[in-house]
Amino acid sequence: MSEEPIKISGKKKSIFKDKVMSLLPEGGNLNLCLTCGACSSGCPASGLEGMDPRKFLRMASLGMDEELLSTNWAWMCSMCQRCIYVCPMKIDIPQLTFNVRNSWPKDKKPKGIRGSCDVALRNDTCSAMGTNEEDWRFVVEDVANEVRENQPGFEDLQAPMDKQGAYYFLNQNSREPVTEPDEMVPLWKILHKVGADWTYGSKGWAAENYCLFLAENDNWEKIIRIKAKAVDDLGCKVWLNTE
Amino acid sequence: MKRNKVLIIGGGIAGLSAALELSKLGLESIIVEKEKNIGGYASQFACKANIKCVKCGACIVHEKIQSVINRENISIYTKSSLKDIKKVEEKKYNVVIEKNMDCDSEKAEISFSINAVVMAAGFIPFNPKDKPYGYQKFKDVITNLDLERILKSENILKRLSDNTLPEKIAFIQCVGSRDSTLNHLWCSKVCCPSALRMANLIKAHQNVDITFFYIDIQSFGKDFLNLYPELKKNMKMIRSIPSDVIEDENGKLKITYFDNTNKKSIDEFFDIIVLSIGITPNKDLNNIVDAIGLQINDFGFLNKSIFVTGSITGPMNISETIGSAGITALGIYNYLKV
Repeated sequence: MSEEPIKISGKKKSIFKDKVMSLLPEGGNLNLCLTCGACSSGCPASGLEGMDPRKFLRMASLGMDEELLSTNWAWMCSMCQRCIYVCPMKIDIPQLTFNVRNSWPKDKKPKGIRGSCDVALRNDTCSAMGTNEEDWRFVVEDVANEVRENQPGFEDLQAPMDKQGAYYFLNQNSREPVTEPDEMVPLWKILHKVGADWTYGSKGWAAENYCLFLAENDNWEKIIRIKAKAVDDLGCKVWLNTE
Repeated sequence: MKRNKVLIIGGGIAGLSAALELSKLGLESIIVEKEKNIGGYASQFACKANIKCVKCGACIVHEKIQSVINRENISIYTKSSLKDIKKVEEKKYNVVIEKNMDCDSEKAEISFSINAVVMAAGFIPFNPKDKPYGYQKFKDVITNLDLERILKSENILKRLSDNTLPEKIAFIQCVGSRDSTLNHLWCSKVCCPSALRMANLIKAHQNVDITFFYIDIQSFGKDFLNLYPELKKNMKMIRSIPSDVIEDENGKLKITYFDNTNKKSIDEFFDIIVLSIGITPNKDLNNIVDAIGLQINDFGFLNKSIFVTGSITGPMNISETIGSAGITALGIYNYLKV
């Protein structure tokens, strides 16, 4: 038994869980929990903030909305979905967590994620580092030149930018061009060796989407649409998302 | 009435009990059993008496087998199956039995008439190989049925991989039961009582730590509530199901689980892991089920009727199965009498 059992008092006030259920296919199966605890056994965030997925869902089921909506644990979930994978009832705890995040007032949401989302919305690169098109083009060309000049066997290496009709549209976490540009090269080499027809785009190239983690529906959708448009504009067939 | 014959499909505890009761009522029965021995799964179960009897029912199966063998109006075909059944008229069927199925040269068919059929073909144990617990990958991950068979013949449980004595054993409950991903929404009922009893039996004979991972203990019958406090006393009870099992380089089995008491994720190593596997429907005989007009429910078990008995209708323990067979025998008697 838990040291501090969950205490419920009086009538169920509001039902946040039911609101979430109305949004999800099959209600996310949120009512099917047997409390087996497989979710908590597999969860990397179990035990943080005195919380675990089973307890989180129990609190939702018991209508403990105030506690549910205020625990910082909602921001510690990595959205890895392992809990669904191991759950015998396929309960969508990550979507419950996502909607809990969504319910937080924007100014109370974690500053780091919030800032990254805001920056990504500033221009069409979608870079959470704020990298603009010009800097991005420069870094890619500069690094590619360096490889061609200094690394035998890769004299023909290409890192195409805005190549119309390429098969693959490759995106790139924007941390690399800013802080670790050489980290981009191994993937280029692989694509070069297999003869892949690929391109970067000057727009919508940043792989990350912090607005998704911030659970801001309008904004993460906006970012996805910019990225999808960039792929379509170049007529690419496959969007390679490295995130 | 005297010349009425009843065909019983399945020579497990349900079929044997039904045959015995029919015999007492003056009816002749013919048991068809696909295995080479009668007694079914229940005959592989170990006696779980510690200092005193814990009423597991395993011994009753052997009494039943003995009684059936000694009865004159019960005939038994082992290694046999019902090949064909046709209704001739009300209360009269022509059947074809295939004998010695396992041996091509001795295979033979016999035909005769019967007046009623009892379906007692039992259950299929869930095969947990696709669950992330390493069954059939790691030698020391076994099922509760494997453990029953071991404890039936051995007093001391050893690791199957290297024959050494285990220091730590884990039981994981509800493997393949209460699981919507498999469409197995039922509780298999027998696993909690039997696993707890086996765990205690092991503790009585050897120095070993036992951890019991469970959702909630499902118990049926008045006696169990009296036994339970005693049964759980010597074990670590963890109200959480582990998400997977991994074998390390030394052959130890790692379980990661959430410890409610300390509110922490714990990695713990075990020498043997016992999976309490569920009881699943026996679907092998669906063609016969159709031929004699029985109904299959949404889960794949048979709906109860006077012609159906035992765990083919759903999970049940030995005593419940015997009770069910008694009711069936009386039902058949009344049906044929009219």
